[in-house]
This record gives sequence, C-alpha cells and structure tokens, in this order.
Amino acid sequence: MPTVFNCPDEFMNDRQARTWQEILWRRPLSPAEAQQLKELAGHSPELAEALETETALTELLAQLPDAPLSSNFTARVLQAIDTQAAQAAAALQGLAGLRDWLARFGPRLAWATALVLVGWLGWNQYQVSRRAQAMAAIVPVFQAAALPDPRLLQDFDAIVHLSELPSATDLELLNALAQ
Amino acid sequence: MAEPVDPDIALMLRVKRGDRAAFEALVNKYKQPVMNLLYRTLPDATEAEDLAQAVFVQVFKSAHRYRATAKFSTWLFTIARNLCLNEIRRRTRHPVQPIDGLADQGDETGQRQIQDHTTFSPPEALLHSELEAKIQAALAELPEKQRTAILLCREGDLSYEDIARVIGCSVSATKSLIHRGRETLKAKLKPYLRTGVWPGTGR
Repeated sequence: MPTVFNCPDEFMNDRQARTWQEILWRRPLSPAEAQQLKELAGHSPELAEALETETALTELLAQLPDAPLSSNFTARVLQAIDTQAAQAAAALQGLAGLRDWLARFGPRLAWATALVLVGWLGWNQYQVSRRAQAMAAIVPVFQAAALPDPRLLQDFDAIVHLSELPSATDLELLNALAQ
Repeated sequence: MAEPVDPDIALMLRVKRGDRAAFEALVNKYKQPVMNLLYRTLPDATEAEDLAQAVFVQVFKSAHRYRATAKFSTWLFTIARNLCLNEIRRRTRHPVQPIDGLADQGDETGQRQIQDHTTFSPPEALLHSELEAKIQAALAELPEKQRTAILLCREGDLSYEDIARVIGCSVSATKSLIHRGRETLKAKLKPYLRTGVWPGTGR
C-alpha cells in the first residue's frame, strides 16, 4: 500500500512511514509526536510537505462540528420502541380473537361444510346418472335411424312401386317385348 | 460466565435480558457518532436523525440475536451503514422532493428539541459555515466506502480491523480506501490546507 511519506530509507523506512500515516489518519499528533516526526522529516523537504498536508487534513476533519441532534433524541427512540411494541401487541390480539372465534365455531362450520359437500356430490352424481340413462336411450335410435345415401332416394317412388302388381299398361308392354 | 471486558458488550447483554436502562445508556453514548456518520452521508439533519432513530430501534429489536463476537460499536455501525445504504437505494428508485421541515410539527412522537450549538461571531460563523460546506461537499463526492471508512476512522473508537468489518473489506483494502479518499480530499481542499484560509474570504 502506498504511503504519503515517500522518503529515502535513511530518514524513515516504509514500516515507520505507514505507522505514522495510520496514526495521522485517526487523529492529530500530540506535541511530542509532532516534534518527533518533524525531526525525522527535517532533512527531507518532500517528507515535510507531505507531513504538513496530512496533518492539516486531519485537523480539518477533526474540526468538523458534530451533526445537529435533538436534545430529546433518546426519549424519542424509546417512544418509537414503545409505539412499535403496542402496534405489535394489537396485531397479536387481533390474531388471538380470530383464533378464539375459530375454536368456538370451527367444528360447526366444519360439519356444515361437510354436509353441503356431501349434498352437492350426491346431486352431482344424480345428474351424471340421469344423463347417462338419457344417452343410453338415444343410442339405439341413432343406430336404427341411420339414413341411406341420398342418391339412393332419387328413384324412391319407382322402387317403392316395384313391389306392387304390375298395371295393365305394364302387362301390355311386357307382352310386346316378349314377342 | 465471566463479565466481558468491553463495557458496551456488558450493557448490550443486559439489553438482551430486557434492561431498558442499559439500552438508554448505549443510545446516549453512541447517538452522536451514529448521527455524525449518517449526517455526512444524508446531508439533511431531519432525515439523518430519523434514520439514526431507526438504527437504535433496530438495535433494540435485534438484541435477542446479539452475540458478543465483536465490539458493540462494530455491530452498531454495521447496522447504521446498512440502513443508510437501504435509504440511498430507496431514494434512487423513488426520488422525492424535500418539503419544508415545518411539516414535522404534527409528529406523534413529539416536537424535536434542537440543541444549542457553540456560537461564533457573525464573520467567524460565516467562515465556519462556508468551510464546513466545502468539506461536506468534498466528502459527499467520495465513493461510499471511502467516505464511510474516513468518517469511521475520524470517530477514533474503531480499529482498522473494526472498520474493515463494518464496510465488508479486508484491512489492507480498507487502508487503501482511506488513503485514496484522503488523497481526493487533499486535492479538493488544497487551497485551505496550504494557506489556512479559503480563497475569496479575505482571512
């Protein structure tokens, strides 16, 4: 990790530089520490400048005022906790009421539901059975009433009369053909 | 079980057993550091305070899950950072125009009572106000992890290992974040760092 105190090893090695740097990141130096570091940096202008800048930033950040905070902040936190606890208790009470109602009316409700279900199933089964019977009655009719090809019905009248006794005209024609 | 060395852990273990006085003591100790962190990320005092309040409510509600495996402050600032990130994500999805702060007066939780800060003479007040605004703007422009690492470092209570746990990085990565963030701040605040005055103020 780089350090701001880039200086020849004769003044300060990397480990020392990091240690000083990490101290400066957290807080301004004490007068004794500042003097010690100043003596170390005395022979290196770059080190002295880096030290000065780092110290100035630390002091600037340290001088940042605290954020504004209500004087009754703690009381407000405790009040918020109490409010949330009361809301949670009210919700639990609502659930408990529902549980009591179910315990009281639940069995009756279950029996009533079962009866309605059985009744509905029975009615449904009756309907299915009726439909099946109706279907069974219709099927023979469908089978018997299978219609022939319409082309066969073109000469229907002639075919029907074929079975009748021939007429006098027909007899005359037959005799003529036979001769 | 032996009494923990860290007094905050001892307090939190009492909170876990339902001790409200212990919780109150923790709130009083850490309300300002938490508020400082949140205010420098959400630069609106009202919203930052609402979020700080939510942080401590969350701490109380999570007390039963608390394990003394790390410092209490590490756990606390982790909650604060996570809630802050959630708030920033929520704002990104649903940007809201800020309304006048006077709308708070109908709040059921009571009126806010703002502390009286140290007062300066008018020219000094203006200088401090402008300088603070410059520093705040420079901090706001940093990436979130750099800013959080620098602000936690400033608080002084957390070690680099603790800061690394809060932001979810290794110790070396955390130190790199602090280094890069500070280099950026130095570049942006250079005029003041060099001379001790901000250009144009005449002081």
